[in-house]
Amino acid sequence: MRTKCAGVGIGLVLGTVALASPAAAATSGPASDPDIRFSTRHAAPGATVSVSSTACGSETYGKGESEAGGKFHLLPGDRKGVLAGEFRVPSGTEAGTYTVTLKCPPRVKVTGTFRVGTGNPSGAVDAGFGADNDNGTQLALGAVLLAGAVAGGVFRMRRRPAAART
Amino acid sequence: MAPGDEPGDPPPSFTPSTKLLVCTLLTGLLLVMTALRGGEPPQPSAAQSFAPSPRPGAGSTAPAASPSVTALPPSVPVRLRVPVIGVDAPMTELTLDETGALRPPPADMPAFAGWYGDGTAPGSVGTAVTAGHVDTREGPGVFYRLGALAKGDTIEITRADRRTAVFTVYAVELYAKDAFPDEKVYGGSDGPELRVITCGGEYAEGKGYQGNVVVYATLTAVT
Repeated sequence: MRTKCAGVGIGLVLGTVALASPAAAATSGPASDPDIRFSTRHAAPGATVSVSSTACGSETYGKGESEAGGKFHLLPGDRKGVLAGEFRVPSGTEAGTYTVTLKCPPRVKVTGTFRVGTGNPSGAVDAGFGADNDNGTQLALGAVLLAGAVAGGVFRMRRRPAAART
Repeated sequence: MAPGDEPGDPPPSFTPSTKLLVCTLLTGLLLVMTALRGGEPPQPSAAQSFAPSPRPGAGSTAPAASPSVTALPPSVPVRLRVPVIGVDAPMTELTLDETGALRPPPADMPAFAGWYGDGTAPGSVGTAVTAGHVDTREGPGVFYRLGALAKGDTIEITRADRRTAVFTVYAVELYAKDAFPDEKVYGGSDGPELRVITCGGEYAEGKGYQGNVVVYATLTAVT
Protein backbone atom coordinates (compact mmCIF):
# COMPACT_ATOMS: atom_id res chain seq x y z
CA MET A 1 0.00 0.00 0.00
CA ARG A 2 2.68 2.48 1.04
CA THR A 3 4.82 1.62 -2.01
CA LYS A 4 1.91 2.35 -4.31
CA CYS A 5 1.37 5.74 -2.66
CA ALA A 6 5.04 6.51 -2.90
CA GLY A 7 4.96 5.48 -6.53
CA VAL A 8 2.04 7.76 -7.24
CA GLY A 9 3.75 10.56 -5.37
CA ILE A 10 6.96 10.18 -7.34
CA GLY A 11 4.97 9.94 -10.54
CA LEU A 12 3.21 13.21 -9.72
CA VAL A 13 6.49 14.97 -9.00
CA LEU A 14 8.10 13.70 -12.19
CA GLY A 15 5.01 14.64 -14.17
CA THR A 16 5.11 18.19 -12.85
CA VAL A 17 8.75 18.57 -13.75
CA ALA A 18 8.09 17.18 -17.20
CA LEU A 19 5.27 19.65 -17.68
CA ALA A 20 7.37 22.57 -16.56
CA SER A 21 10.15 22.16 -19.14
CA PRO A 22 8.06 22.44 -22.30
CA ALA A 23 6.42 25.52 -20.76
CA ALA A 24 9.82 27.12 -20.30
CA ALA A 25 10.77 26.29 -23.88
CA ALA A 26 7.53 27.78 -25.19
CA THR A 27 8.37 31.31 -23.97
CA SER A 28 11.48 31.42 -26.12
CA GLY A 29 9.44 31.13 -29.30
CA PRO A 30 8.40 34.16 -31.32
CA ALA A 31 6.94 36.44 -28.70
CA SER A 32 4.77 39.54 -29.02
CA ASP A 33 5.43 43.07 -27.90
CA PRO A 34 5.51 42.56 -24.12
CA ASP A 35 8.95 40.97 -24.41
CA ILE A 36 10.53 43.96 -26.10
CA ARG A 37 10.72 47.38 -24.52
CA PHE A 38 11.37 50.68 -26.26
CA SER A 39 12.68 53.88 -24.73
CA THR A 40 10.09 55.63 -26.84
CA ARG A 41 7.42 54.30 -29.12
CA HIS A 42 7.16 57.56 -30.99
CA ALA A 43 10.48 58.79 -32.28
CA ALA A 44 11.40 61.78 -34.36
CA PRO A 45 13.75 61.42 -37.31
CA GLY A 46 17.30 61.72 -36.01
CA ALA A 47 16.38 60.43 -32.56
CA THR A 48 18.08 57.48 -30.87
CA VAL A 49 15.84 54.69 -29.69
CA SER A 50 16.91 52.18 -27.02
CA VAL A 51 15.50 48.69 -26.99
CA SER A 52 15.69 46.00 -24.33
CA SER A 53 14.36 42.50 -23.95
CA THR A 54 14.28 39.61 -21.51
CA ALA A 55 13.45 37.12 -24.25
CA CYS A 56 17.07 35.98 -24.54
CA GLY A 57 17.15 34.54 -21.06
CA SER A 58 20.69 33.99 -19.86
CA GLU A 59 22.29 34.66 -23.26
CA THR A 60 24.79 37.51 -23.31
CA TYR A 61 24.60 38.52 -26.93
CA GLY A 62 21.91 39.16 -29.48
CA LYS A 63 21.34 41.00 -32.72
CA GLY A 64 18.80 43.62 -33.46
CA GLU A 65 17.58 45.07 -36.71
CA SER A 66 15.34 48.06 -37.15
CA GLU A 67 13.46 48.80 -40.34
CA ALA A 68 14.36 52.41 -39.69
CA GLY A 69 17.87 52.44 -38.22
CA GLY A 70 19.57 49.29 -39.40
CA LYS A 71 21.44 46.64 -37.44
CA PHE A 72 22.61 46.94 -33.87
CA HIS A 73 24.03 44.76 -31.12
CA LEU A 74 22.23 43.51 -28.05
CA LEU A 75 24.48 43.40 -25.04
CA PRO A 76 23.84 42.69 -21.36
CA GLY A 77 21.92 45.53 -19.76
CA ASP A 78 22.12 46.69 -16.16
CA ARG A 79 19.84 43.90 -14.97
CA LYS A 80 20.38 40.17 -15.17
CA GLY A 81 18.56 38.52 -18.03
CA VAL A 82 18.13 41.75 -19.96
CA LEU A 83 19.82 42.48 -23.26
CA ALA A 84 19.75 46.01 -24.61
CA GLY A 85 20.81 47.93 -27.67
CA GLU A 86 20.10 51.16 -29.51
CA PHE A 87 19.75 52.52 -32.98
CA ARG A 88 19.33 55.91 -34.54
CA VAL A 89 16.37 56.79 -36.72
CA PRO A 90 17.90 58.43 -39.80
CA SER A 91 16.91 62.04 -40.35
CA GLY A 92 14.51 62.19 -43.23
CA THR A 93 12.82 58.94 -42.28
CA GLU A 94 9.24 59.18 -43.35
CA ALA A 95 6.56 59.14 -40.70
CA GLY A 96 5.09 55.68 -40.22
CA THR A 97 5.23 52.44 -38.24
CA TYR A 98 8.45 50.43 -38.31
CA THR A 99 9.36 46.96 -37.05
CA VAL A 100 12.33 46.03 -34.90
CA THR A 101 13.46 42.40 -34.80
CA LEU A 102 15.65 40.97 -32.04
CA LYS A 103 17.38 37.63 -32.35
CA CYS A 104 19.47 35.58 -29.93
CA PRO A 105 20.58 31.95 -29.67
CA PRO A 106 19.36 29.30 -29.89
CA ARG A 107 16.47 30.41 -32.06
CA VAL A 108 14.81 33.25 -30.23
CA LYS A 109 13.19 35.93 -32.33
CA VAL A 110 11.17 38.84 -30.96
CA THR A 111 9.55 41.66 -32.90
CA GLY A 112 8.10 44.96 -31.87
CA THR A 113 6.93 48.09 -33.61
CA PHE A 114 7.39 51.78 -33.01
CA ARG A 115 6.33 54.91 -34.84
CA VAL A 116 8.36 57.61 -36.47
CA GLY A 117 6.64 60.96 -36.43
CA THR A 118 7.35 64.33 -37.91
CA GLY A 119 9.11 65.43 -34.75
CA ASN A 120 6.30 67.85 -34.05
CA PRO A 121 3.51 67.15 -31.60
CA SER A 122 0.28 65.92 -33.12
CA GLY A 123 -3.24 66.11 -31.85
CA ALA A 124 -4.91 68.00 -29.08
CA VAL A 125 -3.47 68.60 -25.60
CA ASP A 126 -5.16 67.23 -22.48
CA ALA A 127 -4.77 70.30 -20.35
CA GLY A 128 -7.76 70.58 -18.06
CA PHE A 129 -9.71 68.59 -15.53
CA GLY A 130 -12.87 70.59 -15.01
CA ALA A 131 -12.72 72.32 -11.62
CA ASP A 132 -15.29 71.10 -9.15
CA ASN A 133 -16.93 74.47 -8.92
CA ASP A 134 -19.21 73.22 -6.19
CA ASN A 135 -21.62 75.94 -7.16
CA GLY A 136 -24.56 73.80 -6.10
CA THR A 137 -23.37 73.49 -2.54
CA GLN A 138 -22.41 77.14 -2.38
CA LEU A 139 -25.76 78.17 -3.76
CA ALA A 140 -27.61 75.98 -1.27
CA LEU A 141 -25.55 77.30 1.63
CA GLY A 142 -26.13 80.88 0.55
CA ALA A 143 -29.85 80.25 0.22
CA VAL A 144 -29.99 78.72 3.71
CA LEU A 145 -28.21 81.73 5.19
CA LEU A 146 -30.53 84.13 3.39
CA ALA A 147 -33.56 82.19 4.56
CA GLY A 148 -32.12 82.13 8.05
CA ALA A 149 -31.57 85.89 8.02
CA VAL A 150 -35.10 86.51 6.82
CA ALA A 151 -36.57 84.11 9.37
CA GLY A 152 -34.49 85.73 12.10
CA GLY A 153 -35.77 89.15 11.06
CA VAL A 154 -39.37 87.98 11.10
CA PHE A 155 -38.79 86.32 14.47
CA ARG A 156 -37.42 89.57 15.90
CA MET A 157 -40.32 91.58 14.55
CA ARG A 158 -42.82 89.20 16.09
CA ARG A 159 -41.03 89.19 19.46
CA ARG A 160 -40.89 92.99 19.73
CA PRO A 161 -44.67 93.45 20.14
CA ALA A 162 -44.66 90.55 22.67
CA ALA A 163 -41.82 92.14 24.65
CA ALA A 164 -43.53 95.49 24.52
CA ARG A 165 -46.55 93.88 26.19
CA THR A 166 -44.63 93.00 29.37
CA MET B 1 -40.11 84.42 34.99
CA ALA B 2 -42.37 87.40 34.87
CA PRO B 3 -46.09 86.84 35.33
CA GLY B 4 -47.99 86.51 32.11
CA ASP B 5 -45.19 84.69 30.24
CA GLU B 6 -46.28 81.51 28.47
CA PRO B 7 -44.44 78.40 29.65
CA GLY B 8 -43.42 77.62 26.06
CA ASP B 9 -41.67 80.96 25.41
CA PRO B 10 -38.02 80.68 24.39
CA PRO B 11 -35.70 82.59 26.76
CA PRO B 12 -35.35 86.26 25.68
CA SER B 13 -31.57 86.02 25.22
CA PHE B 14 -32.20 83.85 22.13
CA THR B 15 -33.38 86.80 20.03
CA PRO B 16 -30.93 87.27 17.20
CA SER B 17 -29.18 90.60 17.22
CA THR B 18 -29.37 93.00 14.29
CA LYS B 19 -25.65 92.55 13.73
CA LEU B 20 -26.00 88.79 13.41
CA LEU B 21 -28.91 89.10 11.03
CA VAL B 22 -27.13 91.59 8.81
CA CYS B 23 -23.99 89.45 8.69
CA THR B 24 -25.99 86.37 7.83
CA LEU B 25 -27.91 88.22 5.17
CA LEU B 26 -24.80 89.67 3.53
CA THR B 27 -22.90 86.38 3.62
CA GLY B 28 -25.86 84.52 2.15
CA LEU B 29 -26.23 87.15 -0.55
CA LEU B 30 -22.54 87.00 -1.43
CA LEU B 31 -22.54 83.21 -1.67
CA VAL B 32 -25.64 83.12 -3.82
CA MET B 33 -24.39 85.82 -6.16
CA THR B 34 -20.94 84.34 -6.75
CA ALA B 35 -22.41 80.87 -7.18
CA LEU B 36 -24.84 82.11 -9.77
CA ARG B 37 -22.14 83.93 -11.73
CA GLY B 38 -20.63 80.53 -12.53
CA GLY B 39 -16.98 79.45 -12.93
CA GLU B 40 -16.29 78.83 -16.58
CA PRO B 41 -12.96 79.80 -18.14
CA PRO B 42 -13.33 82.61 -20.72
CA GLN B 43 -13.44 81.49 -24.36
CA PRO B 44 -12.14 83.36 -27.41
CA SER B 45 -14.66 85.42 -29.31
CA ALA B 46 -15.02 85.24 -33.07
CA ALA B 47 -13.27 88.60 -33.35
CA GLN B 48 -10.01 86.98 -32.25
CA SER B 49 -9.90 84.31 -34.92
CA PHE B 50 -7.91 84.67 -38.13
CA ALA B 51 -9.44 87.26 -40.39
CA PRO B 52 -10.91 85.57 -43.44
CA SER B 53 -8.50 86.44 -46.21
CA PRO B 54 -9.92 88.89 -48.76
CA ARG B 55 -7.45 87.55 -51.34
CA PRO B 56 -8.15 83.96 -52.30
CA GLY B 57 -5.17 81.71 -51.94
CA ALA B 58 -3.35 84.13 -49.66
CA GLY B 59 -0.50 82.36 -47.96
CA SER B 60 0.42 81.44 -44.42
CA THR B 61 -1.44 82.36 -41.29
CA ALA B 62 1.43 84.28 -39.73
CA PRO B 63 1.66 88.03 -40.22
CA ALA B 64 4.66 89.36 -42.13
CA ALA B 65 7.73 89.13 -39.93
CA SER B 66 8.53 92.31 -38.06
CA PRO B 67 11.78 93.44 -39.70
CA SER B 68 13.03 95.21 -36.58
CA VAL B 69 13.30 92.03 -34.56
CA THR B 70 15.90 89.36 -35.13
CA ALA B 71 15.19 85.86 -33.94
CA LEU B 72 17.27 84.68 -30.99
CA PRO B 73 19.57 81.68 -30.71
CA PRO B 74 18.03 78.81 -28.73
CA SER B 75 17.91 79.12 -24.95
CA VAL B 76 15.80 77.33 -22.34
CA PRO B 77 12.73 79.37 -21.37
CA VAL B 78 12.31 79.80 -17.63
CA ARG B 79 9.41 82.20 -17.06
CA LEU B 80 6.24 83.01 -18.96
CA ARG B 81 4.26 86.17 -18.34
CA VAL B 82 1.00 87.38 -19.81
CA PRO B 83 0.45 90.75 -18.11
CA VAL B 84 -3.08 91.39 -19.38
CA ILE B 85 -4.44 88.23 -17.72
CA GLY B 86 -2.11 88.22 -14.74
CA VAL B 87 -0.08 85.14 -15.65
CA ASP B 88 3.45 84.90 -14.24
CA ALA B 89 4.55 81.29 -14.30
CA PRO B 90 7.68 79.17 -14.07
CA MET B 91 8.26 76.90 -17.04
CA THR B 92 8.86 73.20 -17.39
CA GLU B 93 9.82 70.99 -20.29
CA LEU B 94 7.21 68.82 -21.97
CA THR B 95 7.56 65.62 -23.96
CA LEU B 96 5.44 63.66 -26.41
CA ASP B 97 3.52 60.57 -25.41
CA GLU B 98 3.38 57.29 -27.33
CA THR B 99 0.89 58.64 -29.83
CA GLY B 100 2.90 61.79 -30.50
CA ALA B 101 0.59 64.02 -28.50
CA LEU B 102 2.10 66.71 -26.32
CA ARG B 103 2.01 65.79 -22.64
CA PRO B 104 0.81 68.69 -20.49
CA PRO B 105 2.62 69.59 -17.26
CA PRO B 106 2.03 67.05 -14.47
CA ALA B 107 -1.32 67.35 -12.70
CA ASP B 108 0.44 68.40 -9.49
CA MET B 109 2.07 71.37 -11.24
CA PRO B 110 -0.98 73.31 -12.45
CA ALA B 111 0.79 76.65 -11.99
CA PHE B 112 3.56 75.77 -14.44
CA ALA B 113 3.60 76.61 -18.12
CA GLY B 114 5.19 73.91 -20.22
CA TRP B 115 7.12 74.11 -23.50
CA TYR B 116 7.83 71.38 -26.00
CA GLY B 117 11.50 70.72 -25.26
CA ASP B 118 12.31 68.86 -28.48
CA GLY B 119 10.88 71.66 -30.58
CA THR B 120 11.78 75.27 -31.18
CA ALA B 121 12.86 77.29 -28.16
CA PRO B 122 10.65 80.37 -27.74
CA GLY B 123 12.34 83.29 -29.47
CA SER B 124 14.14 81.23 -32.08
CA VAL B 125 13.09 80.69 -35.66
CA GLY B 126 10.33 78.12 -35.91
CA THR B 127 7.14 77.31 -34.07
CA ALA B 128 7.66 77.20 -30.29
CA VAL B 129 4.87 75.32 -28.54
CA THR B 130 3.75 75.99 -24.98
CA ALA B 131 0.88 74.45 -23.04
CA GLY B 132 -0.61 74.59 -19.56
CA HIS B 133 -3.67 73.58 -17.61
CA VAL B 134 -6.84 75.63 -17.72
CA ASP B 135 -7.88 74.12 -14.40
CA THR B 136 -7.55 71.18 -12.05
CA ARG B 137 -10.11 69.48 -9.85
CA GLU B 138 -9.33 72.04 -7.16
CA GLY B 139 -9.57 75.25 -9.14
CA PRO B 140 -8.09 77.43 -11.90
CA GLY B 141 -4.80 76.51 -13.55
CA VAL B 142 -2.08 78.71 -15.01
CA PHE B 143 -3.98 79.33 -18.26
CA TYR B 144 -7.47 79.70 -16.84
CA ARG B 145 -7.92 83.06 -18.55
CA LEU B 146 -6.01 82.29 -21.76
CA GLY B 147 -9.25 82.39 -23.76
CA ALA B 148 -9.65 86.06 -22.84
CA LEU B 149 -6.58 87.13 -24.84
CA ALA B 150 -7.11 89.43 -27.77
CA LYS B 151 -5.12 90.44 -30.82
CA GLY B 152 -2.37 92.82 -29.80
CA ASP B 153 -1.89 91.40 -26.28
CA THR B 154 1.66 90.45 -25.39
CA ILE B 155 3.27 87.33 -24.00
CA GLU B 156 6.74 87.57 -22.51
CA ILE B 157 9.07 84.64 -22.13
CA THR B 158 12.28 85.06 -20.21
CA ARG B 159 15.02 82.64 -21.11
CA ALA B 160 18.04 81.21 -19.36
CA ASP B 161 20.23 83.67 -21.28
CA ARG B 162 18.36 86.42 -19.37
CA ARG B 163 16.80 87.82 -22.52
CA THR B 164 13.05 88.23 -22.71
CA ALA B 165 11.26 87.42 -25.92
CA VAL B 166 8.11 89.47 -26.35
CA PHE B 167 5.42 88.00 -28.59
CA THR B 168 2.31 89.76 -29.86
CA VAL B 169 -0.92 87.82 -30.25
CA TYR B 170 -2.43 87.83 -33.73
CA ALA B 171 -5.11 85.18 -33.35
CA VAL B 172 -6.89 83.09 -30.72
CA GLU B 173 -8.95 80.14 -31.87
CA LEU B 174 -10.87 77.24 -30.36
CA TYR B 175 -10.61 73.81 -31.95
CA ALA B 176 -12.47 70.59 -31.24
CA LYS B 177 -10.03 68.01 -29.91
CA ASP B 178 -11.23 65.40 -32.36
CA ALA B 179 -10.62 67.70 -35.33
CA PHE B 180 -7.35 69.28 -34.32
CA PRO B 181 -5.51 71.08 -37.15
CA ASP B 182 -1.98 69.74 -36.58
CA GLU B 183 -0.30 71.52 -39.45
CA LYS B 184 -1.88 74.87 -38.68
CA VAL B 185 -0.92 74.76 -34.99
CA TYR B 186 2.38 72.87 -34.96
CA GLY B 187 3.57 73.34 -38.53
CA GLY B 188 6.94 74.99 -39.00
CA SER B 189 7.36 78.71 -39.47
CA ASP B 190 9.94 80.83 -41.24
CA GLY B 191 9.99 83.29 -38.41
CA PRO B 192 10.02 83.14 -34.59
CA GLU B 193 6.51 82.02 -33.71
CA LEU B 194 4.74 80.97 -30.52
CA ARG B 195 1.72 78.83 -29.79
CA VAL B 196 0.06 78.73 -26.37
CA ILE B 197 -2.40 75.88 -25.81
CA THR B 198 -4.87 74.98 -23.09
CA CYS B 199 -8.19 73.18 -22.81
CA GLY B 200 -11.43 74.93 -23.66
CA GLY B 201 -14.84 74.62 -25.18
CA GLU B 202 -17.63 72.52 -23.74
CA TYR B 203 -16.90 70.51 -20.63
CA ALA B 204 -18.55 67.09 -20.66
CA GLU B 205 -18.84 65.46 -17.24
CA GLY B 206 -16.74 62.31 -17.27
CA LYS B 207 -15.14 63.13 -20.62
CA GLY B 208 -13.48 66.45 -19.98
CA TYR B 209 -13.05 69.51 -22.12
CA GLN B 210 -13.96 68.97 -25.74
CA GLY B 211 -11.60 71.49 -27.24
CA ASN B 212 -8.33 73.37 -27.12
CA VAL B 213 -7.83 77.12 -27.05
CA VAL B 214 -4.78 77.99 -29.20
CA VAL B 215 -3.12 81.41 -29.08
CA TYR B 216 -0.96 82.39 -32.06
CA ALA B 217 1.75 84.98 -31.45
CA THR B 218 4.87 86.21 -33.21
CA LEU B 219 8.10 87.70 -31.84
CA THR B 220 7.94 91.48 -31.92
CA ALA B 221 10.56 92.59 -29.41
CA VAL B 222 13.50 91.40 -27.33
CA THR B 223 14.30 93.02 -24.00
